[in-house]
Amino acid sequence: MDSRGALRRLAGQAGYLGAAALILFARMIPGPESGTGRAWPGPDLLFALSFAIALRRPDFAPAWAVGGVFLMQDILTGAPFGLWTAIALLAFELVRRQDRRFLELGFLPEWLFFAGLLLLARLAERAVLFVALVPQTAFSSLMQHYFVTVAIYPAVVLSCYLLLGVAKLSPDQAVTYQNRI
Amino acid sequence: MARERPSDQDFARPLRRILLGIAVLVLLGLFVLWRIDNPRVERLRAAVVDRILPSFDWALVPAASLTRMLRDFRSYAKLYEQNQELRRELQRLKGWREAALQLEQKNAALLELNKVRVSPRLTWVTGRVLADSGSPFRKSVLLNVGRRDGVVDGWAVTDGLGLVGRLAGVGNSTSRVILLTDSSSRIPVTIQPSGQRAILAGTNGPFPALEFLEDRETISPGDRVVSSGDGRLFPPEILVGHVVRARGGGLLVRPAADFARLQFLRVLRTVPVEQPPPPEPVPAAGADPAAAGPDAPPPASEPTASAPAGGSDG
Repeated sequence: MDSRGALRRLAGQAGYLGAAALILFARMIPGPESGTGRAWPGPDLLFALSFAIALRRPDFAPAWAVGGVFLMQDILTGAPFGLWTAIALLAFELVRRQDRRFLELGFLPEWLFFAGLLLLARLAERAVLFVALVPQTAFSSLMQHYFVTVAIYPAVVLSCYLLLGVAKLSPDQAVTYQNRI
Repeated sequence: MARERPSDQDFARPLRRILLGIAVLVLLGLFVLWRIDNPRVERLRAAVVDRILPSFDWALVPAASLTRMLRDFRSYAKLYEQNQELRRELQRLKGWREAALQLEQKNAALLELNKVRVSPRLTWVTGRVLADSGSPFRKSVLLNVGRRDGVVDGWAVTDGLGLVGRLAGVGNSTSRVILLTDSSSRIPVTIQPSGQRAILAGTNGPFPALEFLEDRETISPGDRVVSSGDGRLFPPEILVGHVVRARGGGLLVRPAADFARLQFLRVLRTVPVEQPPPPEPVPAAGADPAAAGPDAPPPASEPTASAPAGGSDG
C-alpha cells in the first residue's frame, strides 16, 4: 500500500480511538444519573460506533483497537472482566468478514444486521453469565438498553460520516482492506 | 476485476485468525479467573483505574462542575416555584427544629444518666467523587481516597446524611464505591419504630427494595430505615432512608442520601468488633482481631481510644 493510504489508515485509527476515548470519558463524568439511574438506560454508543466503522472501514477499527477499547470499558465500568470484550471481538470479526457488497444494499439491511448482532451478543453474554452464576440485572432493563442502542444507530452512522469521514468503500477497494490485522 | 489478492494475504489470513482466537481465549480466561479468584482480579482492576484516572483528573473535574452548573442554571427557570416551595419547607422545618432542640436536650440528659459512650473510633475520611464508573447495569462511583488514606474494602460510605454504599475495590489513591442502588448491593437494615430486620437490596432504580421482611403489617410508609450493623461490616444506626410503598405493593426505601448530587462522600472508618468493654480486664491488643489491614494507625490509636473510655467509666 502506498504511503498516502497508510497515512489515511493511521488517521482513521486515531479517529476511532479518539471517538471511543471520548465516549468512555463522557460517561464517566459524574452527573445526576450516577446514583439514581435514569428512567431509560443510555445507549451503548461504543458498540454502535465500533460496528459502524468495522463494517465500513475494517482497517480503521482493527481487532487490537477494538479489544483494547472494550477491555478498558470493562475495567472502568466494573463489568465482568473480559467477557464482553471477547464477545465484541468475535462479533466484529463477523462484521469484518462481511461481503462489502452488503453495504450497497442500502441502510435498512445494515440496520437489521446491527440489531440482530447486538441481540445475539447480549444474549450470549447473558447465557455465559447465567452459566457462571454471576448475578444479573433484570431482563427488562437490558431490553430497554438494547432498543435505545438500536434506535440511536442511524445517528451514530451519520456522525461517523460527518465527523470522522468514514464512508463506504467500493467493493474492489474493500478486498485489499479486508484482511488486515 | 480487482479480485486477485496479493499473495502475502493468503498467509496473513490464517495467522490473523489464530491471533484473534488467542486473544479471545485469553479474555475468556480472564473472565473465568475473575469469576474464581475475584479479589485478586478486582485488585488488578483497581490498580488499572488507579493508574488511569488521575491522568484524566484535570478534565473530569471541570466537566463535572460544568454539568452541575448547567443543571443549576436550568433550575433558574423554575425559580419562583422553588422559592414558594422553599418558604413552605422552611416553615415546616422551623417546627422540626424546635422539636429537634427539645429532643437533643432530652437525649443529652438521658445519655448523661446512662453514661452511654458513642464509639470513639467512628471517624471518617472525606473524598471527592472523581468519576461515575457505572453502566446502565451497575451503579458505582470512583472516589479520590485510597489505600494511602488507610481505607479498607467494605467500609461504609455516606454523604454526611445518609448511607450511600460501600467500598469495593481500593487502589492506592482511588477507590470504587458500590452504591446501595446497585443491583448487587445487599445491606442489613433495621426499620425503626418496629425494630424489624430486613435486607436492603438495590434494584438499579432510584429506590432500593426491602427484602426478607418478617411482618409487613407492622411497617408503614415513612418509617426510618437505619443500618443494623449485622455482619459487623457497617456500623449500626447509620440513617439509610425512609420506607415508601411501591405501586405494586412492595416496600421500597427512599434513600436519605442525595444520589442526584454525589460530590463529597465520607468513608466511615470502622474498626471491626467494637463491643461494650467487658468487665474483666482483657488485653486491648488481644481483643482486637486486627483484621482491618496492615495499616499502622488503627492499632496505634487503640490504647488512646480505649483509655479515656475506661478511665472515665471507672
